[in-house]
Amino acid sequence: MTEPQYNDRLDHLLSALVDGAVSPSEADELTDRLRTDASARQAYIAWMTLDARLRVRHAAPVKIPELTLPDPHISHSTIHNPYSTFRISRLVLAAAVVLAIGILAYSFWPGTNEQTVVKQIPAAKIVHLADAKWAGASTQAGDTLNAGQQLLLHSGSAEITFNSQARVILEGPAELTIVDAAACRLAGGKLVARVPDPAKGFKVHTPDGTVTDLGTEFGVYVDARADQQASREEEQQPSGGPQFNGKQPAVTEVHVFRGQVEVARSEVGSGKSEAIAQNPTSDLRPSFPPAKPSRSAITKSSRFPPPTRSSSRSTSSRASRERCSSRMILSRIPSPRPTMRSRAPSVRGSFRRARARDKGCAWRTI
Amino acid sequence: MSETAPAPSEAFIRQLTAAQHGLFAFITTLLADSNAASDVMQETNIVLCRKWQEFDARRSFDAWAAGIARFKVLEYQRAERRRTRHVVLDQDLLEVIATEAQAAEPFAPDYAAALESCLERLGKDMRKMLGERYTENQSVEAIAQARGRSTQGVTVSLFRARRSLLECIQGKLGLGGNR
Repeated sequence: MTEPQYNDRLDHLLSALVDGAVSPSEADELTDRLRTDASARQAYIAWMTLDARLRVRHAAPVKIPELTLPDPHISHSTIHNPYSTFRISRLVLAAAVVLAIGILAYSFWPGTNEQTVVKQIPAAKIVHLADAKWAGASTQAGDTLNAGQQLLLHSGSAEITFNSQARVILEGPAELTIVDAAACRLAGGKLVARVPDPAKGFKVHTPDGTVTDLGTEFGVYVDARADQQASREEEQQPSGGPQFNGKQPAVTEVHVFRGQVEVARSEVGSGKSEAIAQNPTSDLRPSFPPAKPSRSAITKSSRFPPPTRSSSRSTSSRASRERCSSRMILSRIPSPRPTMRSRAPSVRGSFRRARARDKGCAWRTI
Repeated sequence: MSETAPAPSEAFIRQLTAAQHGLFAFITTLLADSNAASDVMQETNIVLCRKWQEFDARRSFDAWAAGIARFKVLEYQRAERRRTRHVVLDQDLLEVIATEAQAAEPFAPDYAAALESCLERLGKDMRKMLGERYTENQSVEAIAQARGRSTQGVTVSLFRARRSLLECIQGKLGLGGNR
Protein backbone atom coordinates (compact mmCIF):
# COMPACT_ATOMS: atom_id res chain seq x y z
CA MET A 1 0.00 0.00 0.00
CA THR A 2 2.09 2.82 -1.28
CA GLU A 3 -0.65 5.33 -2.01
CA PRO A 4 -1.27 7.44 1.05
CA GLN A 5 -4.88 7.70 1.99
CA TYR A 6 -5.28 11.39 1.61
CA ASN A 7 -8.61 12.81 2.05
CA ASP A 8 -9.26 15.95 0.03
CA ARG A 9 -10.65 17.93 2.88
CA LEU A 10 -7.78 16.96 5.13
CA ASP A 11 -5.32 17.86 2.42
CA HIS A 12 -6.92 21.24 2.13
CA LEU A 13 -6.62 21.84 5.88
CA LEU A 14 -3.01 20.73 5.98
CA SER A 15 -2.09 22.80 2.98
CA ALA A 16 -3.68 25.86 4.56
CA LEU A 17 -1.84 25.13 7.78
CA VAL A 18 1.62 25.07 6.23
CA ASP A 19 0.86 28.14 4.18
CA GLY A 20 -0.31 30.02 7.23
CA ALA A 21 -3.80 30.43 5.90
CA VAL A 22 -5.87 28.30 8.19
CA SER A 23 -8.92 29.93 9.70
CA PRO A 24 -9.89 29.46 13.35
CA SER A 25 -12.79 27.22 12.47
CA GLU A 26 -10.59 25.17 10.19
CA ALA A 27 -8.07 24.88 12.98
CA ASP A 28 -10.69 23.44 15.28
CA GLU A 29 -11.82 21.12 12.57
CA LEU A 30 -8.28 19.91 12.07
CA THR A 31 -7.55 19.29 15.74
CA ASP A 32 -10.85 17.42 16.12
CA ARG A 33 -9.90 15.30 13.22
CA LEU A 34 -6.44 14.62 14.60
CA ARG A 35 -7.89 13.61 17.92
CA THR A 36 -10.04 10.91 16.46
CA ASP A 37 -8.40 9.78 13.27
CA ALA A 38 -5.06 7.98 13.29
CA SER A 39 -4.63 8.22 9.53
CA ALA A 40 -5.22 11.96 9.75
CA ARG A 41 -2.43 12.17 12.30
CA GLN A 42 -0.21 10.20 9.99
CA ALA A 43 -0.91 12.65 7.19
CA TYR A 44 -0.40 15.58 9.53
CA ILE A 45 2.99 14.31 10.64
CA ALA A 46 4.00 13.78 7.02
CA TRP A 47 2.95 17.30 6.04
CA MET A 48 4.63 19.02 8.92
CA THR A 49 7.81 17.06 8.40
CA LEU A 50 7.85 17.97 4.75
CA ASP A 51 7.30 21.60 5.62
CA ALA A 52 10.20 21.54 8.09
CA ARG A 53 12.49 19.65 5.76
CA LEU A 54 11.75 21.93 2.84
CA ARG A 55 12.70 24.83 5.03
CA VAL A 56 15.96 23.18 5.91
CA ARG A 57 16.55 22.12 2.34
CA HIS A 58 16.10 25.61 0.95
CA ALA A 59 18.61 27.15 3.25
CA ALA A 60 22.16 28.29 2.72
CA PRO A 61 24.94 25.83 2.04
CA VAL A 62 24.98 23.64 5.06
CA LYS A 63 28.15 24.00 7.00
CA ILE A 64 27.56 21.22 9.42
CA PRO A 65 30.44 18.97 8.35
CA GLU A 66 32.90 21.60 9.45
CA LEU A 67 31.98 21.16 13.03
CA THR A 68 32.58 17.46 12.91
CA LEU A 69 36.03 17.64 11.39
CA PRO A 70 38.40 15.98 13.76
CA ASP A 71 40.80 18.42 15.25
CA PRO A 72 44.28 16.98 15.50
CA HIS A 73 45.00 19.18 18.43
CA ILE A 74 42.25 17.75 20.48
CA SER A 75 42.83 14.66 22.46
CA HIS A 76 39.93 12.94 24.04
CA SER A 77 41.35 13.12 27.46
CA THR A 78 41.27 16.84 27.07
CA ILE A 79 37.76 16.98 25.80
CA HIS A 80 36.31 15.21 28.76
CA ASN A 81 38.36 17.10 31.18
CA PRO A 82 36.26 19.11 33.57
CA TYR A 83 37.11 22.73 33.71
CA SER A 84 37.97 24.35 36.89
CA THR A 85 35.41 26.99 37.48
CA PHE A 86 31.78 27.50 36.94
CA ARG A 87 32.38 30.62 35.01
CA ILE A 88 34.64 28.94 32.55
CA SER A 89 32.54 25.88 32.16
CA ARG A 90 29.63 28.11 31.40
CA LEU A 91 31.67 29.84 28.81
CA VAL A 92 32.57 26.58 27.18
CA LEU A 93 29.04 25.38 27.39
CA ALA A 94 27.86 28.57 25.86
CA ALA A 95 30.36 28.08 23.10
CA ALA A 96 29.11 24.63 22.34
CA VAL A 97 25.52 25.68 22.46
CA VAL A 98 26.00 28.73 20.39
CA LEU A 99 28.02 26.79 17.88
CA ALA A 100 25.35 24.20 17.50
CA ILE A 101 22.62 26.76 17.28
CA GLY A 102 24.60 29.07 15.13
CA ILE A 103 25.22 26.38 12.61
CA LEU A 104 21.63 25.47 12.58
CA ALA A 105 20.52 29.01 12.15
CA TYR A 106 23.04 29.43 9.43
CA SER A 107 21.73 26.46 7.59
CA PHE A 108 18.21 27.76 7.80
CA TRP A 109 18.49 31.39 7.19
CA PRO A 110 20.89 32.49 4.54
CA GLY A 111 21.82 36.09 4.19
CA THR A 112 18.63 37.13 2.58
CA ASN A 113 19.10 40.56 3.99
CA GLU A 114 22.50 41.36 2.58
CA GLN A 115 21.60 45.01 2.79
CA THR A 116 23.78 47.78 1.65
CA VAL A 117 27.20 46.53 2.43
CA VAL A 118 29.75 48.98 1.26
CA LYS A 119 32.00 47.23 -1.17
CA GLN A 120 35.01 46.81 0.93
CA ILE A 121 36.85 43.66 1.68
CA PRO A 122 34.55 41.08 3.15
CA ALA A 123 36.30 39.38 6.01
CA ALA A 124 33.67 37.72 8.10
CA LYS A 125 30.03 37.09 8.51
CA ILE A 126 27.57 37.18 11.33
CA VAL A 127 26.08 33.76 11.44
CA HIS A 128 24.01 33.93 14.53
CA LEU A 129 22.73 36.35 17.10
CA ALA A 130 21.31 35.49 20.47
CA ASP A 131 19.44 38.32 22.12
CA ALA A 132 21.98 40.64 20.61
CA LYS A 133 21.54 44.33 21.17
CA TRP A 134 23.91 46.60 19.39
CA ALA A 135 25.30 49.73 20.87
CA GLY A 136 26.46 50.95 17.51
CA ALA A 137 25.39 50.07 14.01
CA SER A 138 23.03 47.16 14.08
CA THR A 139 23.90 44.02 12.21
CA GLN A 140 21.84 40.98 11.53
CA ALA A 141 22.50 37.32 11.11
CA GLY A 142 23.78 36.76 7.62
CA ASP A 143 25.40 40.14 7.35
CA THR A 144 28.81 40.32 5.85
CA LEU A 145 31.46 42.09 7.86
CA ASN A 146 34.18 43.96 6.10
CA ALA A 147 37.74 44.43 7.15
CA GLY A 148 37.90 47.32 9.55
CA GLN A 149 34.30 47.07 10.58
CA GLN A 150 33.58 47.58 14.21
CA LEU A 151 31.00 45.77 16.29
CA LEU A 152 29.67 47.22 19.47
CA LEU A 153 27.68 44.56 21.17
CA HIS A 154 25.69 45.87 24.05
CA SER A 155 24.32 42.57 25.28
CA GLY A 156 23.56 39.09 24.11
CA SER A 157 25.94 37.19 21.93
CA ALA A 158 26.97 37.10 18.33
CA GLU A 159 28.60 34.33 16.41
CA ILE A 160 30.94 35.41 13.69
CA THR A 161 32.55 33.21 11.12
CA PHE A 162 35.67 34.66 9.64
CA ASN A 163 36.50 33.92 6.06
CA SER A 164 39.49 31.99 7.32
CA GLN A 165 36.93 29.67 8.93
CA ALA A 166 37.71 30.75 12.44
CA ARG A 167 34.58 31.05 14.51
CA VAL A 168 34.19 33.59 17.21
CA ILE A 169 31.44 33.96 19.70
CA LEU A 170 31.30 37.41 21.11
CA GLU A 171 29.54 37.97 24.36
CA GLY A 172 28.20 41.41 25.10
CA PRO A 173 29.03 43.93 26.24
CA ALA A 174 31.97 43.83 23.95
CA GLU A 175 33.73 45.81 21.35
CA LEU A 176 35.29 43.99 18.45
CA THR A 177 36.89 45.20 15.29
CA ILE A 178 37.25 42.92 12.32
CA VAL A 179 40.83 43.36 11.18
CA ASP A 180 40.76 40.94 8.32
CA ALA A 181 39.68 37.40 7.56
CA ALA A 182 42.14 36.05 10.08
CA ALA A 183 42.31 38.64 12.81
CA CYS A 184 40.19 40.73 15.06
CA ARG A 185 40.74 43.22 17.79
CA LEU A 186 38.98 42.95 21.10
CA ALA A 187 38.95 46.25 22.91
CA GLY A 188 36.74 45.05 25.68
CA GLY A 189 34.55 42.12 26.51
CA LYS A 190 34.71 38.45 26.08
CA LEU A 191 35.01 36.13 23.17
CA VAL A 192 35.45 32.46 22.55
CA ALA A 193 37.23 31.39 19.41
CA ARG A 194 37.17 28.05 17.81
CA VAL A 195 39.78 27.75 15.18
CA PRO A 196 39.85 24.81 12.81
CA ASP A 197 43.11 23.75 11.23
CA PRO A 198 42.84 25.81 8.05
CA ALA A 199 42.48 28.96 10.09
CA LYS A 200 45.51 28.34 12.26
CA GLY A 201 47.25 31.57 13.03
CA PHE A 202 44.05 33.43 13.73
CA LYS A 203 44.83 36.46 15.86
CA VAL A 204 43.01 38.28 18.56
CA HIS A 205 44.56 41.62 19.33
CA THR A 206 43.84 43.10 22.69
CA PRO A 207 44.98 46.34 24.21
CA ASP A 208 47.58 44.35 26.08
CA GLY A 209 48.88 42.04 23.47
CA THR A 210 48.06 39.59 20.76
CA VAL A 211 46.82 36.07 21.03
CA THR A 212 47.72 33.94 18.07
CA ASP A 213 45.94 30.69 17.67
CA LEU A 214 47.82 27.52 16.95
CA GLY A 215 44.82 25.33 16.36
CA THR A 216 42.57 25.67 19.35
CA GLU A 217 39.54 26.74 21.13
CA PHE A 218 40.26 29.60 23.40
CA GLY A 219 38.67 32.49 25.12
CA VAL A 220 39.86 36.03 25.54
CA TYR A 221 38.56 38.38 28.09
CA VAL A 222 39.44 42.02 28.18
CA ASP A 223 38.32 43.78 31.27
CA ALA A 224 37.29 47.11 29.96
CA ARG A 225 35.00 48.04 32.75
CA ALA A 226 36.51 47.53 36.11
CA ASP A 227 33.69 49.28 37.86
CA GLN A 228 31.15 46.78 36.65
CA GLN A 229 33.56 44.02 37.22
CA ALA A 230 33.80 44.98 40.84
CA SER A 231 30.12 44.57 41.36
CA ARG A 232 30.14 41.19 39.74
CA GLU A 233 33.04 39.69 41.54
CA GLU A 234 32.75 39.06 45.17
CA GLU A 235 36.41 38.62 45.69
CA GLN A 236 37.13 41.95 44.20
CA GLN A 237 38.52 44.28 46.74
CA PRO A 238 37.25 47.80 46.83
CA SER A 239 40.32 49.61 45.77
CA GLY A 240 43.92 49.20 44.96
CA GLY A 241 43.08 45.88 43.45
CA PRO A 242 44.01 42.53 44.76
CA GLN A 243 47.35 41.50 43.50
CA PHE A 244 47.81 38.31 41.69
CA ASN A 245 50.64 36.51 43.41
CA GLY A 246 51.84 39.84 44.48
CA LYS A 247 52.29 40.88 40.91
CA GLN A 248 50.63 43.61 39.07
CA PRO A 249 47.05 43.05 38.12
CA ALA A 250 46.06 41.90 34.69
CA VAL A 251 43.30 43.06 32.49
CA THR A 252 43.47 40.60 29.67
CA GLU A 253 42.89 36.95 30.22
CA VAL A 254 43.36 34.12 27.83
CA HIS A 255 41.73 30.80 28.48
CA VAL A 256 42.88 27.95 26.36
CA PHE A 257 40.23 25.31 26.30
CA ARG A 258 42.15 23.02 24.02
CA GLY A 259 45.23 23.12 21.91
CA GLN A 260 47.62 25.98 22.25
CA VAL A 261 47.97 29.60 21.52
CA GLU A 262 50.79 31.98 21.32
CA VAL A 263 50.54 35.13 23.33
CA ALA A 264 52.55 38.18 22.48
CA ARG A 265 52.49 40.89 25.02
CA SER A 266 52.91 44.50 24.19
CA GLU A 267 56.13 45.77 25.62
CA VAL A 268 55.83 47.82 28.73
CA GLY A 269 55.09 51.36 27.88
CA SER A 270 56.41 50.95 24.39
CA GLY A 271 53.19 51.71 22.64
CA LYS A 272 54.79 50.25 19.61
CA SER A 273 52.15 47.84 18.69
CA GLU A 274 50.44 49.28 15.67
CA ALA A 275 47.42 47.20 16.38
CA ILE A 276 47.03 48.98 19.62
CA ALA A 277 48.13 52.36 18.55
CA GLN A 278 45.63 52.42 15.77
CA ASN A 279 42.83 51.24 17.88
CA PRO A 280 40.09 53.72 17.10
CA THR A 281 37.99 52.79 20.02
CA SER A 282 38.70 55.78 22.15
CA ASP A 283 36.74 57.90 19.76
CA LEU A 284 33.99 55.53 18.96
CA ARG A 285 33.40 53.82 22.22
CA PRO A 286 29.85 54.34 23.27
CA SER A 287 29.02 54.15 26.86
CA PHE A 288 28.56 50.55 27.66
CA PRO A 289 25.77 51.09 30.07
CA PRO A 290 25.78 51.21 32.96
CA ALA A 291 29.38 52.29 32.99
CA LYS A 292 30.05 55.29 35.09
CA PRO A 293 31.35 58.14 33.03
CA SER A 294 34.33 58.78 35.20
CA ARG A 295 35.52 55.25 34.76
CA SER A 296 34.33 54.42 31.34
CA ALA A 297 37.78 54.23 29.91
CA ILE A 298 39.37 50.88 29.66
CA THR A 299 40.91 50.02 32.93
CA LYS A 300 44.48 49.08 32.84
CA SER A 301 47.31 48.26 34.97
CA SER A 302 49.24 51.43 35.07
CA ARG A 303 52.20 49.70 33.59
CA PHE A 304 50.31 48.96 30.43
CA PRO A 305 48.70 52.13 29.44
CA PRO A 306 46.62 52.10 26.32
CA PRO A 307 48.69 54.07 23.89
CA THR A 308 45.91 56.07 22.42
CA ARG A 309 43.99 56.90 25.51
CA SER A 310 44.56 59.73 27.79
CA SER A 311 41.30 59.76 29.62
CA SER A 312 41.01 59.01 33.25
CA ARG A 313 42.08 55.56 34.10
CA SER A 314 41.47 53.45 37.04
CA THR A 315 44.11 51.16 38.29
CA SER A 316 41.86 48.78 40.02
CA SER A 317 42.12 45.32 38.68
CA ARG A 318 40.78 41.90 38.66
CA ALA A 319 41.43 39.35 41.27
CA SER A 320 42.55 35.89 40.44
CA ARG A 321 39.21 34.31 40.66
CA GLU A 322 39.72 31.08 38.84
CA ARG A 323 41.04 28.44 41.07
CA CYS A 324 43.36 26.35 39.11
CA SER A 325 42.53 22.74 39.56
CA SER A 326 42.09 21.32 36.14
CA ARG A 327 44.25 20.99 33.13
CA MET A 328 43.08 24.18 31.70
CA ILE A 329 45.67 26.78 30.99
CA LEU A 330 45.10 30.25 32.13
CA SER A 331 47.42 32.86 30.88
CA ARG A 332 47.41 36.36 32.03
CA ILE A 333 49.01 38.50 29.52
CA PRO A 334 50.43 41.40 31.42
CA SER A 335 52.87 40.36 34.05
CA PRO A 336 56.19 41.73 35.04
CA ARG A 337 58.60 39.25 33.64
CA PRO A 338 58.81 36.53 31.08
CA THR A 339 58.89 33.18 32.74
CA MET A 340 58.41 31.10 29.70
CA ARG A 341 60.72 30.59 26.88
CA SER A 342 61.24 33.67 24.92
CA ARG A 343 61.03 33.73 21.23
CA ALA A 344 62.27 35.98 18.58
CA PRO A 345 60.65 39.34 18.58
CA SER A 346 57.62 39.55 16.42
CA VAL A 347 57.28 41.76 13.45
CA ARG A 348 55.85 44.38 15.66
CA GLY A 349 59.06 44.63 17.55
CA SER A 350 59.16 44.56 21.24
CA PHE A 351 56.89 41.72 22.01
CA ARG A 352 57.60 38.87 24.22
CA ARG A 353 56.04 35.66 23.32
CA ALA A 354 55.14 32.58 25.15
CA ARG A 355 53.15 29.53 24.52
CA ALA A 356 50.41 28.27 26.65
CA ARG A 357 50.33 24.58 26.29
CA ASP A 358 47.58 22.25 27.10
CA LYS A 359 49.54 20.62 29.83
CA GLY A 360 48.67 20.75 33.43
CA CYS A 361 47.15 23.69 35.10
CA ALA A 362 49.25 26.68 35.68
CA TRP A 363 49.05 30.34 35.91
CA ARG A 364 51.48 31.04 33.24
CA THR A 365 52.78 34.46 33.05
CA ILE A 366 54.77 35.94 30.31
CA MET B 1 31.62 20.43 42.56
CA SER B 2 28.07 20.46 41.35
CA GLU B 3 28.66 23.71 39.59
CA THR B 4 31.55 22.46 37.50
CA ALA B 5 29.75 21.21 34.44
CA PRO B 6 32.17 19.88 31.87
CA ALA B 7 31.72 20.92 28.30
CA PRO B 8 29.89 18.56 26.01
CA SER B 9 32.16 16.02 24.41
CA GLU B 10 33.00 16.08 20.76
CA ALA B 11 31.04 12.88 20.28
CA PHE B 12 28.02 14.46 21.85
CA ILE B 13 28.21 17.56 19.70
CA ARG B 14 28.39 15.35 16.66
CA GLN B 15 25.26 13.53 17.62
CA LEU B 16 23.55 16.76 18.46
CA THR B 17 24.50 18.22 15.12
CA ALA B 18 23.41 15.14 13.23
CA ALA B 19 20.05 15.21 14.97
CA GLN B 20 19.27 18.84 14.21
CA HIS B 21 17.16 18.40 11.11
CA GLY B 22 15.14 15.56 12.53
CA LEU B 23 14.62 17.46 15.72
CA PHE B 24 13.51 20.50 13.81
CA ALA B 25 10.95 18.43 11.93
CA PHE B 26 9.78 16.87 15.17
CA ILE B 27 9.33 20.21 16.87
CA THR B 28 7.59 21.62 13.83
CA THR B 29 5.15 18.74 14.01
CA LEU B 30 4.38 19.33 17.65
CA LEU B 31 4.01 23.06 17.20
CA ALA B 32 2.16 22.93 13.91
CA ASP B 33 4.36 25.79 12.84
CA SER B 34 7.79 25.64 11.27
CA ASN B 35 8.35 29.33 11.86
CA ALA B 36 7.99 29.05 15.60
CA ALA B 37 9.96 25.83 15.69
CA SER B 38 13.32 27.55 15.59
CA ASP B 39 12.72 29.23 18.95
CA VAL B 40 11.90 25.98 20.63
CA MET B 41 14.74 24.33 18.80
CA GLN B 42 17.15 26.76 20.35
CA GLU B 43 15.81 26.18 23.84
CA THR B 44 15.95 22.47 23.29
CA ASN B 45 19.55 22.60 22.15
CA ILE B 46 20.52 24.54 25.22
CA VAL B 47 18.96 21.97 27.50
CA LEU B 48 20.50 19.12 25.56
CA CYS B 49 23.93 20.65 25.97
CA ARG B 50 23.36 21.30 29.62
CA LYS B 51 22.24 17.76 30.25
CA TRP B 52 24.60 16.05 27.93
CA GLN B 53 26.07 13.86 30.64
CA GLU B 54 22.67 12.39 31.32
CA PHE B 55 22.53 10.93 27.87
CA ASP B 56 23.10 7.21 27.80
CA ALA B 57 25.13 6.59 24.67
CA ARG B 58 23.65 3.11 24.30
CA ARG B 59 20.24 4.56 23.75
CA SER B 60 18.79 6.50 20.86
CA PHE B 61 19.89 10.09 20.76
CA ASP B 62 16.80 11.05 18.78
CA ALA B 63 14.49 9.58 21.38
CA TRP B 64 16.30 11.33 24.19
CA ALA B 65 16.29 14.64 22.36
CA ALA B 66 12.64 14.20 21.40
CA GLY B 67 11.70 13.80 25.05
CA ILE B 68 13.32 17.08 25.93
CA ALA B 69 11.89 18.77 22.85
CA ARG B 70 8.41 17.65 23.82
CA PHE B 71 8.81 19.23 27.19
CA LYS B 72 10.09 22.44 25.64
CA VAL B 73 7.15 22.61 23.28
CA LEU B 74 4.73 22.40 26.18
CA GLU B 75 6.68 25.08 27.96
CA TYR B 76 6.59 27.27 24.88
CA GLN B 77 2.87 26.83 24.45
CA ARG B 78 2.24 27.74 28.03
CA ALA B 79 4.43 30.81 27.79
CA GLU B 80 3.34 32.05 24.42
CA ARG B 81 -0.32 31.34 24.09
CA ARG B 82 0.13 32.80 20.69
CA ARG B 83 -2.11 31.26 18.15
CA THR B 84 -0.74 32.70 15.00
CA ARG B 85 -1.83 29.73 13.00
CA HIS B 86 -4.74 28.87 15.18
CA VAL B 87 -3.65 25.32 15.60
CA VAL B 88 -2.47 24.39 19.04
CA LEU B 89 -2.34 20.77 19.95
CA ASP B 90 -3.56 20.28 23.47
CA GLN B 91 -1.41 18.24 25.76
CA ASP B 92 -3.16 14.91 25.25
CA LEU B 93 -3.10 15.20 21.51
CA LEU B 94 0.47 16.39 21.60
CA GLU B 95 1.53 13.31 23.54
CA VAL B 96 -0.16 11.05 21.04
CA ILE B 97 1.34 12.80 18.06
CA ALA B 98 4.78 12.96 19.65
CA THR B 99 4.78 9.23 20.18
CA GLU B 100 3.59 8.53 16.66
CA ALA B 101 5.93 11.07 15.11
CA GLN B 102 8.98 9.53 16.70
CA ALA B 103 8.40 6.40 14.71
CA ALA B 104 7.56 8.25 11.52
CA GLU B 105 8.98 10.82 9.12
CA PRO B 106 10.65 13.38 11.37
CA PHE B 107 13.61 11.24 12.31
CA ALA B 108 13.74 9.10 9.17
CA PRO B 109 17.47 8.90 8.45
CA ASP B 110 17.18 9.00 4.67
CA TYR B 111 14.64 11.76 4.51
CA ALA B 112 16.95 14.40 3.12
CA ALA B 113 18.15 12.15 0.33
CA ALA B 114 14.61 11.11 -0.52
CA LEU B 115 13.48 14.71 -0.59
CA GLU B 116 16.34 15.62 -2.84
CA SER B 117 15.61 13.00 -5.44
CA CYS B 118 11.89 13.69 -5.27
CA LEU B 119 12.48 17.39 -5.84
CA GLU B 120 14.29 16.41 -9.02
CA ARG B 121 11.09 14.97 -10.33
CA LEU B 122 9.18 18.19 -9.93
CA GLY B 123 8.90 20.62 -12.77
CA LYS B 124 11.35 23.48 -12.86
CA ASP B 125 8.73 26.11 -12.15
CA MET B 126 7.43 24.11 -9.24
CA ARG B 127 10.90 23.93 -7.73
CA LYS B 128 11.31 27.62 -8.25
CA MET B 129 8.08 28.34 -6.47
CA LEU B 130 9.09 26.19 -3.52
CA GLY B 131 12.35 28.05 -3.46
CA GLU B 132 10.54 31.35 -3.21
CA ARG B 133 8.27 30.06 -0.52
CA TYR B 134 11.05 28.58 1.60
CA THR B 135 14.33 30.24 0.75
CA GLU B 136 12.93 33.71 0.76
CA ASN B 137 10.08 32.87 3.09
CA GLN B 138 7.68 34.67 0.80
CA SER B 139 4.00 34.49 1.48
CA VAL B 140 1.73 32.79 -0.98
CA GLU B 141 0.23 36.19 -1.74
CA ALA B 142 3.61 37.65 -2.59
CA ILE B 143 4.47 34.77 -4.86
CA ALA B 144 1.15 35.08 -6.59
CA GLN B 145 1.50 38.80 -7.03
CA ALA B 146 4.98 38.52 -8.49
CA ARG B 147 3.73 36.03 -11.03
CA GLY B 148 0.52 37.80 -11.80
CA ARG B 149 -1.42 34.82 -10.63
CA SER B 150 -4.20 34.40 -8.14
CA THR B 151 -3.43 33.43 -4.58
CA GLN B 152 -5.72 30.49 -4.99
CA GLY B 153 -3.83 29.34 -8.06
CA VAL B 154 -0.50 29.43 -6.27
CA THR B 155 -1.98 27.69 -3.26
CA VAL B 156 -3.14 24.89 -5.50
CA SER B 157 0.23 24.67 -7.22
CA LEU B 158 2.05 24.47 -3.93
CA PHE B 159 -0.41 21.92 -2.72
CA ARG B 160 0.20 19.76 -5.75
CA ALA B 161 3.93 20.08 -5.38
CA ARG B 162 3.80 19.07 -1.76
CA ARG B 163 1.48 16.18 -2.31
CA SER B 164 3.60 14.89 -5.11
CA LEU B 165 6.67 15.18 -2.88
CA LEU B 166 4.92 13.40 -0.04
CA GLU B 167 3.90 10.50 -2.21
CA CYS B 168 7.35 10.23 -3.68
CA ILE B 169 9.10 10.43 -0.31
CA GLN B 170 6.82 7.99 1.38
CA GLY B 171 7.38 5.58 -1.44
CA LYS B 172 11.12 5.88 -1.02
CA LEU B 173 11.11 5.61 2.72
CA GLY B 174 8.55 2.86 2.91
CA LEU B 175 6.44 5.03 5.16
CA GLY B 176 2.85 6.02 4.74
CA GLY B 177 1.84 2.38 4.63
CA ASN B 178 -0.37 0.54 7.01
CA ARG B 179 0.35 2.27 10.22
